[in-house]
Amino acid sequence: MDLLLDVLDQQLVDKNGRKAGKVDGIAIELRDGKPPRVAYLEMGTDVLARRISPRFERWLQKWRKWMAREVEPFHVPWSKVKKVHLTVDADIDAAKEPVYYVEHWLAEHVIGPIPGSEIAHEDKQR
Amino acid sequence: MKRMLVAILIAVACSSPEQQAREARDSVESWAAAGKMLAEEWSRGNVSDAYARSTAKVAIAELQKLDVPERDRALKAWRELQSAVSRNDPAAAERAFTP
Amino acid sequence: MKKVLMVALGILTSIGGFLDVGAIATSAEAGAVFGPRLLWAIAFSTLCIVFLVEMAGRLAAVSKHTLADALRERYGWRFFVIPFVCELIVDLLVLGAEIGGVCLALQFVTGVPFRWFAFPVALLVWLFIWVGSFSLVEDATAILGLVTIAFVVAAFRMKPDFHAIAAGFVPSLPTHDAAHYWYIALSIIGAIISPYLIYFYSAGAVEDGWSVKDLKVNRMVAVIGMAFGSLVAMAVLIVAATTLLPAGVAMDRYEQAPLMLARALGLAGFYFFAASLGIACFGACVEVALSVSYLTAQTFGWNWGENLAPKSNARFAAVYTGFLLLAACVTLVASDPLKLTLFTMALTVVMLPVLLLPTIMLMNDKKFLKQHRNGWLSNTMGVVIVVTAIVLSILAIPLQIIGG
Repeated sequence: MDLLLDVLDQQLVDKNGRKAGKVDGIAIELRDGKPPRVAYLEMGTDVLARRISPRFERWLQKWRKWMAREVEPFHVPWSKVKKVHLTVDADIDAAKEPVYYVEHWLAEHVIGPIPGSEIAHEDKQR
Repeated sequence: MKRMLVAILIAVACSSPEQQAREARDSVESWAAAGKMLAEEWSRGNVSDAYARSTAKVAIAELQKLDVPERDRALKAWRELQSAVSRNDPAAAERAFTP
Repeated sequence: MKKVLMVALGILTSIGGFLDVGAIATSAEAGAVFGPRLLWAIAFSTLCIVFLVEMAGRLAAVSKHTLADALRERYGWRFFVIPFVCELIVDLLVLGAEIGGVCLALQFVTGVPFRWFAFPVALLVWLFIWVGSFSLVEDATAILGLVTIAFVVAAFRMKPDFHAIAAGFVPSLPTHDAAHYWYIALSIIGAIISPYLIYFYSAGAVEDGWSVKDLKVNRMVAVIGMAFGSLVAMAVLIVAATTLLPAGVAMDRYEQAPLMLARALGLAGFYFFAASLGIACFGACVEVALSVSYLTAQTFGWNWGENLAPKSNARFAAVYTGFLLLAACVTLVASDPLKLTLFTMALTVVMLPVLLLPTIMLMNDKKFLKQHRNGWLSNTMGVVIVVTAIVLSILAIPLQIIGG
């Protein structure tokens, strides 16, 4: 397995088959006298901003401070990762994790109150 | 990116007055032709009154922006067409653009 | 039988996606100013978009990955963020222009200035996406899009000079206004090679659950659908060349365009023009808005799907909702929809290399495409597309200034 090719930027899928974001970053733990190992996968806008430039991440954090909004980082411990093949499958429930914060907030405050927001479409089979 | 923007600004600033005048004349000519065509099609009942009215308004506003002497004749003709449309007078509309 | 129906619908969808405010405007202006001499630009860009759409469909069918998913997963966030942001900017302007197109169609029929319709039209598009399912979106725009055949009828009725038309398919140097000639050629290419169409098609193929079995259907849809859309665009050019050009009307504004079908087909033609413009642009609005939601959701790995309830898909729904609102503002502040359209087409061309090069490279990836990677024909065409895109992208800004 190649961490950069097979894990980084791949689709993370939770135990219910729900898409839980792409793997934005990988944290490696360096250990004295032993080979380094993967500690956890990390995701979120901070990581994405940092990957473009550390300056972006500082701006983002300043803006967060100014907005007085704390964002928990979302880490998936490597021990929870079950399978790596085209997707990264992890034994977590994404809906209960911080990656779903924005989704829940929008569902509750913006999209939910609009009439018809709960209707799914039964598409005719082709 | 910055350099590109500067280059664009210089190029825009340098487009010569003669060229601008030529473009304005072309535009006047095209609007006059469009007026003639509209007058013909409207008097034959080939376009709706609403379209003729709103297009006349747009044409007059556009012609007023063009600062060349040629535009006055076109402007006058379009105004005649506009009033012919509001009076529902096809003959007057056809006359507006025939010298 | 099911296959036949699928091909038919796919073809109709491509017509809906192909013909939009940009294709109609640039074809009409080309015909009005240069007669049939720019037909080659439509033919060439059709060839490019056929190959690109086929590639996007093949990628989806073989790897079950949409183009956006595959690009980020293969090339990583640090690279993909560039085409992603470029695409969002282009899409915002395109959506603003398409809303402007629907508004103009309403202006032609009602006489009320187009600006008044910007927000009502955006709301209508939103409602259509909110209430409709993916197949409704596809089928409705596709079947209503058939009104654009009026242009083909008009083109034949005007008895054009078929020798001149045949000659128009061979690229030639302009006799007058060289800068303007190349500027329009470039705008046609920007209008027809619309990146949103490629992203939309690839998301649709995944949403419809295509597999390797559907590769043949994909190829047929790409070729026949795009060719049909292209036929209509050529008809627009020919009608403009046989009506506006002899009259001396140079398409300074979109308001002059309905005159061409009025002259060719009478009052019915006038209404056909308004209907064609309105429906083609409405279909395009729906496709662009959804395309932005797909692109964003796939880039960040959210759950996505037009058929899920908006509430269980809140970020997806929020993106098209917010984007439509923003685009309506663009329509509102734009001085004139035609200028906005031409500017957007030129900007699309500037960004084409960034959007297309990674796609062509990806089509040779073993992990995603296994034995269905690009063959020599697709790769040759891929090189042609990318080289053209790079040359045009360099020429776009100077031409915009001296020719626009």
